Amino acid sequence: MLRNILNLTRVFLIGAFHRGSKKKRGRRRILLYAFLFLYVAAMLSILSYELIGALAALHQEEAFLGLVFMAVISLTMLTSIVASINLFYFSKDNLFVLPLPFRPEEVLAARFNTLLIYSYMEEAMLALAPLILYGILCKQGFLYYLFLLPVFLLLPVIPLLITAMLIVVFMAFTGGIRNKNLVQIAITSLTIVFSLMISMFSSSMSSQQEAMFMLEKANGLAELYAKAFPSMPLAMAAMTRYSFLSLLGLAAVSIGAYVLVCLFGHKLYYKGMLGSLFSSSGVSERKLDEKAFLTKGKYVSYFSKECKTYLRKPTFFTQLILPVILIPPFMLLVFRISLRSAGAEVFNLLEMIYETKQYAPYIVAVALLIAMFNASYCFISIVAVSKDGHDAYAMKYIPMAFSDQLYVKTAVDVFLCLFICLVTMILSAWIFKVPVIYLLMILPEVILYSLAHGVLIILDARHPKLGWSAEIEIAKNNLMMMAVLAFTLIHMALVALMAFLLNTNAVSIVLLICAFDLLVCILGYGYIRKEDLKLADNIE
Amino acid sequence: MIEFKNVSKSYKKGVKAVDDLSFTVNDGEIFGFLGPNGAGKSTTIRMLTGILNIDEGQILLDGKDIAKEPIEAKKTFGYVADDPDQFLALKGIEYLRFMADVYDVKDSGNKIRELTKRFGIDDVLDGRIESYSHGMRQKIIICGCLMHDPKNWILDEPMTGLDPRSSYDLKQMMSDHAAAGNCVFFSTHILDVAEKICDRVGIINKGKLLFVGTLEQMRETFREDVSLEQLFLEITENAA
Repeated sequence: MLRNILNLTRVFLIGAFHRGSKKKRGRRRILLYAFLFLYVAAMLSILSYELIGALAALHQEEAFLGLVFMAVISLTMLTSIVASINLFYFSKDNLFVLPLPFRPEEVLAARFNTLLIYSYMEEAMLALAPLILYGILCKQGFLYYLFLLPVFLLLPVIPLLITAMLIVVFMAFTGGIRNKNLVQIAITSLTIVFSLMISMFSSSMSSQQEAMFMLEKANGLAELYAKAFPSMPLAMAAMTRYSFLSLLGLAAVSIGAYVLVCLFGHKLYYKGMLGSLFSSSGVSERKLDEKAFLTKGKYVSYFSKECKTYLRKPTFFTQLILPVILIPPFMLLVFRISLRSAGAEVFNLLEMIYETKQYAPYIVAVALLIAMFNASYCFISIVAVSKDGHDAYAMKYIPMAFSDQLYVKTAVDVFLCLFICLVTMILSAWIFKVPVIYLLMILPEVILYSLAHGVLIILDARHPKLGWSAEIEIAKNNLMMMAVLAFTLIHMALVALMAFLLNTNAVSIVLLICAFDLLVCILGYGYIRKEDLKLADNIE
Repeated sequence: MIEFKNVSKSYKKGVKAVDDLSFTVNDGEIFGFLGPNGAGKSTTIRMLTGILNIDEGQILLDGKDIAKEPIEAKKTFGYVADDPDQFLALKGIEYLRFMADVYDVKDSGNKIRELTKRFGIDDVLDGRIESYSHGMRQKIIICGCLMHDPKNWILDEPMTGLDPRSSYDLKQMMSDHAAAGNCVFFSTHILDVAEKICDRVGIINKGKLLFVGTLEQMRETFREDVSLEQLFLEITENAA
C-alpha cells in the first residue's frame, strides 16, 4: 500500500510540475520563482524584524512564533480550498487513474500528498525567512533549528486535512457536481472576495488599535487558533520548550489524522469524484430561436468568441478577468476606509489640495498612477494567443489575416483596461472627491494607455505557448506577466518623473504621456501589420 | 484542384519530414492520402492548409499559392482536422455562426439547419462543444468546415468517431461533392473506406511519395488480386 501511494504521488507530482518546457524555459522559470521567493522573503523579513522588536520590548517574543504559525495555518486553509477541488476532482489524470488497480484510499492519500507538497512551497515562502530571522534575533540555539524542520513539515497537515475533508464532504453531498465550471468559478470567486474582505477588515482598524491588538492580544489569538487546531499548541511547545514529547505528540496527531482521513474518507471522495469527471452543463436540447442563427460579421463574431473563451473557462475567468474587476475597486475601498479612520482632517486637506492650482500636476499624476497601477492587473494581451492552445492553429487556416485576428484579440485587453481605468476614475471621484475636471483631463491618456497596453500581444505572438495541458499554466505561471509589470512601471516612472522631478504642468504631463502612448500604438500595431506572416509562423 | 510541386519540409537538419512531394488532385475526384504513422501525412496536410510553412516547393489551390496568396487560397478549401477537440468553450451554434462569419457565408441560418440536420446534431446546438461526445464534436467540426461550400475539401481522418449512419452520410457527401466537379483530399487509416470511395490514392512513407494513382494501376504495378490493405503493407514494408 505504501509503495502504491508513493508511486502515485510521484506520478501526480510529475504531472503537476512538468510543463513540457524546454531547458531554457525551465531555467527561466526557476529564476523567476527564485526571484519571487527572495522578494517575498525580503519583505517579510523587514516586517518580521519590526514585529519581533516590538514584541521583545514587551517580553512576548514567543508570540511571534504563534503569529507565524497562525499565518501558515490561515494561508494553508485559504489556498487549499481551490487547490483541493482542482486536484481531487477536476484533475485530468483521474480518468486514467480510476481504471487502474489502486485502492481508493491509496488514490486519496496520493492526492493529499501532492497537496501537501504544494503547501510546503507556500509555507516556505511565507514562514521560512521570518522563522530563521527569529532564530537569529532571539539567539536561538541548535535545538531551535533541529525542531524547526519537523514542525515545518507537520504544521500544515491538520489544516489541510480539515479543508480537504470539508471539500470532500461538500462534493459528496452535492450530487457529484456536474457543472464543474460553475463550482470552480464560485469557489475561486468566494476565496478572492474573502481575502479582500480580510484586507478591508484589518485596515478598518486604526494604526493605534492595530498595535494594541498585535502586541497585547497576540497570545489570545493564538489560544483561539490552538482550540481549533490541536497541532498548534504542540508545535508551539516543541519550538519554545524544545519538548520532544510535544514533537512526538504533533507527529502522532498529524499522522493519525492523515491515516484516519485516508482510511475513512475515501468513500466520500469517490462518491463525489465519480460523476464530476465529465463536466459542464450537459448537452442541452433546447430549441433555438431565429436570433441564434443570425450572423454578426467577421470581427464582431471573432471578438465574441474571444470573450466567451475568457468568460466560460473557469481558470481564465478567475485568474484573468475576476482579479481585474474585483481587486482594484476593493483596494480603493480599503484605502477609503483607512482614510476615513484617519479622520475628517484628511478630506479637508484633500479639498484644499484640489483647490490649489499649483498642485494640479500632482493630482493629475496621482490619478494617472492609480489608473495605470489598477490596469496592471490585466494580463489578457500576454496570453491572448497562448490561451487558445491547439485552437490557435485555426488562426492559420481561416481566411482572415493573422494581423486582423491579433487586433481583435487585443481588443479584449483594451476594453478591460479601459473599463478598470474608468471604474478607477469614477471611484476616485466618489471616494476621494477628485474634481471631474482632472478626470476629464486624464481621459485621453487613459484611452491611449489602454490601447498601448494591447500592443503587449506582440510578446505572446512572438513566443506563443500552445502545448499546455492545464489552463493554469498560461493564466498564472506565466513569465510574461513581468512584461506587463515592466510596461506599467515605465509609464508610472515617466509620469512621476514629469510631475515630481521636472515640475511639468498638468496639461503638459497629459500631452507628453499621450504622445508617448500614441507612438507606442503606431509602432506596435504597425509592427503587427508589417510582420503579419512572420508572427503567424510562430504558430507551428 | 490541388497541386503539390516539389514540396519539402524539414524539422531538423538533414531530416526531411516531407521530401520532394509532387502530385495533383484533380477536380471531380476523391483522393485518398495513405501512410503509416509518422509517414508525413499530417505534415503534408498542415502545409496544404497553411498551418506549416513550406521549406521548398509550392502548393496551389485552384491556382492560388498558399504561401503567396494565403487568404484567397484559404477561401477555396474547408479543412477538418484530425483532432475534433476545438473551441470547446463555444456552443455548437456559436461555433457554426463564427465559421459562417469568418467565411462570409450568405444565408448561413439555412445552411446551419441543413448541415446539422443531416448529421443529426440539430437538437444539441445550444450545448457547449465540451459537453459533446467525441463523435458529436467531429460532426460539428465537419459542419463548420462545409458551411461555405468550399470547392476543395481537406479532411484529416474524418471518419474517426462517427457512427455508421454519419460515416455513410459523409462518404455520400464526398462522392456527391466530387461528382459535382469538386475536389476531395482526405487522409485515413481505414483502408476499406479508401478502397471503396477513392478515385485515386497516394501512399507516403518516411516523407516520400511511394505511389500515386488508381487502385487498378496499383494492382498492375505491384500485385494483382489483393486488397488495398495488402498492397499498402507490401508497398510500405518494401520502402522501409
